Amino acid sequence: MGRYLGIIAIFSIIFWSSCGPDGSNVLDNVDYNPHYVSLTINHPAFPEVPVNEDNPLTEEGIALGRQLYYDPLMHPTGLHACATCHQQEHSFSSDPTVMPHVNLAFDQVYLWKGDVSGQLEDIMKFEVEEFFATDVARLQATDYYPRMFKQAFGIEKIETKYVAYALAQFVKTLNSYNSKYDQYLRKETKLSLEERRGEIIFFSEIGDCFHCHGAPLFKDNLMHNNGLDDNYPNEVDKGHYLLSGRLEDMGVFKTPTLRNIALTAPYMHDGRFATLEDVVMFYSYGVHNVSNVDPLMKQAHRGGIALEENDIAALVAFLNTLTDSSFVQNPEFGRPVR
Amino acid sequence: MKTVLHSVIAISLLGIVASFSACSSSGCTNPLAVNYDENASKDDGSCSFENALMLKLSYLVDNEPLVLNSKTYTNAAGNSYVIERLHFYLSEIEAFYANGQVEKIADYHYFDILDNGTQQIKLTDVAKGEIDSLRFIFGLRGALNENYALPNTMVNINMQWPTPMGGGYHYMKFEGKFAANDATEHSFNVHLGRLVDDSGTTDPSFQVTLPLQSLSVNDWPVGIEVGMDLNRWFDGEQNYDFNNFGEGIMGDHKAQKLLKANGRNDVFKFIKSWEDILE
Repeated sequence: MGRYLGIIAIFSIIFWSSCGPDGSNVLDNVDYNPHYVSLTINHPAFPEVPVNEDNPLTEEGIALGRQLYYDPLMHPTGLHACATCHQQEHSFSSDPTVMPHVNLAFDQVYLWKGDVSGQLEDIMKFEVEEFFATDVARLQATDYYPRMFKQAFGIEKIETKYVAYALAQFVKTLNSYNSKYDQYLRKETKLSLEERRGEIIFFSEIGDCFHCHGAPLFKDNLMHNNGLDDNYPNEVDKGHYLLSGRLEDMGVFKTPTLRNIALTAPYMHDGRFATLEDVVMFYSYGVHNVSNVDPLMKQAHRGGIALEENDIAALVAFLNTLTDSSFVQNPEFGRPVR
Repeated sequence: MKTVLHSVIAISLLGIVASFSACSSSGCTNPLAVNYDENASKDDGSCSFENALMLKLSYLVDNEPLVLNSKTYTNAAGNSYVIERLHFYLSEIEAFYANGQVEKIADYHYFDILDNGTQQIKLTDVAKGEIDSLRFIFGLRGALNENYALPNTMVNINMQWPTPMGGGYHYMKFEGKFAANDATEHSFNVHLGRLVDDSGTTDPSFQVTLPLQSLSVNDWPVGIEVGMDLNRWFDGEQNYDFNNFGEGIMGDHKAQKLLKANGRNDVFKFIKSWEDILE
């Protein structure tokens, strides 16, 4: 009998929490009439934004995702939002362990070690259920989320799946394609001689950056060992090996995007390089020719691409052209005013 | 109480039926059938077939099946090497019939040795008759090899050939490690594509025509298997020595021409055709 009383009590709580003062369900008056959105990216080389038929983009879903992204209620402590670490001014990154949320809609592998694969909804589900362990009861108890979830998904009882779906919708809108380099390709601006020299180094086998960091996304959606270490005493440096247990995955990490790279220092999975100059110095003279170094690192046997001082400066100058200030200042991506 | 018990049993049975239907759906599991069901895990004998053609690529080294990563091969220049990755495009893939008819199998196709789903091309409702040869282009030509000509999928994006070197796409990325003359292990990248620079243009694409034993297409799927012998890229009139070219050849006209000459010679070969592909 006690068990039945428990069930009755739970139903009563759910019933009462969704009822107005007069006993009516306050959500009965909230319409589910989503406004579908088609994202268009004005760049000839960009992929189409993937469509998840189970989670089509809507104005209501994107707005809800944005609200959640900036809300510390997402974390059980009430102290951390997604945006605490994914800060817009840093291309939705902050410290080196935080991969930036930029053009993430096109990825199929996520996090430095490749912990999660699949669609954006899958990584957001991981973030909500495992990384944050979001307590949806706290969202349900607010006077705004039940209404927003009803408007976005037609549901009255908030579930982690829909929290993840809303976040995925918002993150799908975080697309950067208006850097100085994009403007140069559109013939709206010019690069300096140094930047153009850097472009040649980047897109040729002199620097050989493009094989992993090819345009337009400046990432390849794959994982590599780039010769960062020649032994791995620290767990943090073991990369995908920690998940697969295969020696060939030792030191293997996901390729980060170079879009807005000037805004995301320090660099590499552990932030060992403070500046872009340090990074290019590593690729020039510090590469380790370990047995599972990626074959694309074809100068590894001599320590790297051996760029001279002027070319290092030119390559860094080019990397700085990948900064998209309109993206990091776009008010549509900022903290919402509820 | 009896009614409640019946309800419980009925709900349980429904659950069991539902779980069975979700876990082991049956249907036609043959991808060549017209009623192929990709969600089916058990074949129920319902497959029906029509005149279809499947082209399958297989990978060889000196006529033996390729072993990735772990097996060491030796090329004509005496280099010991292991193969790690291979991606390439074939285009204008056509079947030629004895009566002069031509059937296009695909405008282009991307092959990735690590992705089994890319190793075969299926063409349905193929013309009936006697196929006596297969023709294709290694690489991409014309409008297909312009910037962004192919859909902007990640695989096509990752195959882009940089604009400063001519634009378009890599025709092939063939990568691994070799034992260099300095007794250390080096990487090799055999990357082919149309190179354009101040010293001119080199286009390493080439056409391949493979005569077949006559293959009769009727109301049944047929197959053609073509082999790519990877060691044949490195021998011919002039051998390809990784010590000279191993570190990157995208900007090297001489290497691009040498590989083209070797490639068009005997890299691709007809393996077999079969009129009953289901056997």
